[in-house]
Amino acid sequence: MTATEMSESQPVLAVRDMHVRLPHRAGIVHAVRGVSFDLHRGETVCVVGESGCGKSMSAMAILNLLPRGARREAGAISFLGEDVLNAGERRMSELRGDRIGMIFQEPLTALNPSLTIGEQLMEVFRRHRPNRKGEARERAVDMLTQVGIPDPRERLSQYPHQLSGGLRQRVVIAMALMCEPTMIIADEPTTALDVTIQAQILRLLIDLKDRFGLALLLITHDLAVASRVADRIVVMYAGEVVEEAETAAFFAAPRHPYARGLMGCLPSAQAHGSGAPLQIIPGTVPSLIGEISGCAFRERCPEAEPACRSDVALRDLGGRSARCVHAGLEEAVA
Amino acid sequence: MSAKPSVLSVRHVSKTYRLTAGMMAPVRQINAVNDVSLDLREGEVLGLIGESGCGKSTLSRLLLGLEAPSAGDVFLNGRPISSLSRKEIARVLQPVFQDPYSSLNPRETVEQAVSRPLQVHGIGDRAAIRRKVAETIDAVGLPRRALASYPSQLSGGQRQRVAIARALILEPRILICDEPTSALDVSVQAQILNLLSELRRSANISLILISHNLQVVQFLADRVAVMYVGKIIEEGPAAQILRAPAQAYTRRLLASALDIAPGKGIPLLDNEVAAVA
Ligand SMILES: Nc1ncnc2c1ncn2[C@@H]1O[C@H](COP(=O)(O)OP(=O)(O)OP(=O)(O)O)[C@@H](O)[C@H]1O
Ligand SMILES: Nc1ncnc2c1ncn2[C@@H]1O[C@H](COP(=O)(O)OP(=O)(O)OP(=O)(O)O)[C@@H](O)[C@H]1O
Ligand code: SF4
Ligand SMILES: [Mg+2]
Ligand SMILES: [Mg+2]
Repeated sequence: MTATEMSESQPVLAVRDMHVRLPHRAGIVHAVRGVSFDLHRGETVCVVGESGCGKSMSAMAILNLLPRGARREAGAISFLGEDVLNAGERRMSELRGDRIGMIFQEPLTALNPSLTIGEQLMEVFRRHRPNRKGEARERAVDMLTQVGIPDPRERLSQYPHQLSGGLRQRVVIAMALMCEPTMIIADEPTTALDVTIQAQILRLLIDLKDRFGLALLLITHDLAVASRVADRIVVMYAGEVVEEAETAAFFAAPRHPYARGLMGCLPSAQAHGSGAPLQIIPGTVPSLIGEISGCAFRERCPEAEPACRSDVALRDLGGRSARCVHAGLEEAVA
Repeated sequence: MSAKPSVLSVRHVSKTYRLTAGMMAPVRQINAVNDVSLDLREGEVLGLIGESGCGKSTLSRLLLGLEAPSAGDVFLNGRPISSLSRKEIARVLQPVFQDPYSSLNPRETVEQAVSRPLQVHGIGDRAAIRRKVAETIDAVGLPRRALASYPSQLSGGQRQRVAIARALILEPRILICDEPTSALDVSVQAQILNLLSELRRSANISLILISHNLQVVQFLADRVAVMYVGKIIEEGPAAQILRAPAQAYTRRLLASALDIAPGKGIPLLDNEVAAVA
């Protein structure tokens, strides 16, 4: 561990004013619009937000894995104090799979169908630890054990299609852990899985995070899951961060009208069997093609007023923040 | 309730798969669906719940006529589904699958994907098709500008709405939804659930809803059937099954639903032991 890694206050990941633009038939999609956040050692940050708001693109941008033709710009992206924004793809490919573990929604895309589990796990280790190649096999068995896979030695010779979805996702997690990462980025890691398996995988991730002091960036659309595992919540809307808060504070009283709307949409928030339709957030997200001026939520916001037509900055509310003209005024009233 | 005719019924259906682990290994059999009988009545929403691997998706493939049962019969509006053509079935019965990644053709735009069923069935001229596609896209809460996009340019939740739009475009009488909202965020989920509920009210559509999200089932379903290792072990009015289940298995299943509880972590579920395989 280097001296910079030891420092308490330095975030594992710091993202400042990150933008992602993607080409589309109809124009340039500005999918991520000035996202900033920090992730600390031992911390779980959950990113939530409406489908299409730029969660996956933000993750891909940090990892330098954006689709072809995409453009990334940022004030800064640093990992353990290192400038990874300007580091180049060669350095990023060293970090991915090594200090940075990645887990995506569909385990099949992360695994090569024609290679055995063992070959794939060992390959990651040999690539990043060329002078310790001899340990690869034991390390693979060890990691499969850590993620709770029974008979790990026998599994080494199996192919991905011979495993159930839950076991495959465990293998992907084992692969992410092979080189003792400092940070894991997980994009909807359990969406494709059944509730029971989902619970196991999430518990495993949290347990590993605690045991290895990892920093975990978890993208999920499941508010119940986010509430239970996150230390902090980041809410995105139309490519921007619109609210950030500690988990308990967030769920006790979300400060952005969009976040409040999300809570209202939960089927559990409605009177059971009342036959009344669920509360919804009317309308759809604005087009991300071209620039958006003013608050991006204003077409759908029940609290919109003329001031919302000007650009709204993220307001510091003391330990939390929200991007809304009304944010911070609630306290004054109370 | 019993006055309503049954639009889809299964009688003693079973589905057996043969598994060969390797050339030398003995052949094993899996009874994925084991002697199931069920009725879906007109305008009704039937929720189907049960843990991973219990046979829900297999049963839905039998109901859709996509696979033939090893034993038993499936009837669509009283006629054996095996006697109907693909097209005849598609006009009345449409699936919505869980996985929005594999169910869309990457080379088709949203407009092509959603209008294809109308073309295949020779319904409407160009203008009528355009209008219908636009209406359906609105109904599932997608912006019109999405019509020109390819699936790879859409987020996961947007793709699922495309899949739902494609299922709705033929105005089917019955929808079989296998985890229709599990890839969606809550605001889109609420829109889709309201849409399904509205379709039932206004068009008297019947629905089979397979979901692990019990709140979703509770919101939509009139009746609930609980499946366990290939069998229906409990069935009845939704309120009764979800509030006072008779079977211990159902009680465990209900206990596994997660609610918002900051800092509470993910509890160990009783039925997890059974799921580790
Ligand atoms: N390859 C691409 N080309 C052009 N636009 C794209 C591409 N991929 C995604 N987009 C657009 O970028 C925006 C952000 O997409 P992203 O996948 O980050 O959403 P998300 O927040 O992860 O949503 P979900 O919860 O549905 O996964 C969306 O509006 C999407 O349509
Ligand atoms: N084509 C097939 N060949 C062999 N076995 C199969 C096949 N399809 C399903 N099975 C097996 O049948 C059983 C039931 O599977 P099914 O997919 O119906 O479960 P499910 O209830 O839909 O589960 P989930 O909630 O995970 O989607 C499982 O043991 C599965 O492995
Ligand atoms: S800035 Fe205005 S439109 Fe935007 S969320 Fe706040 S009140 Fe609503
Ligand atoms: Mg995504
Ligand atoms: Mg299934």
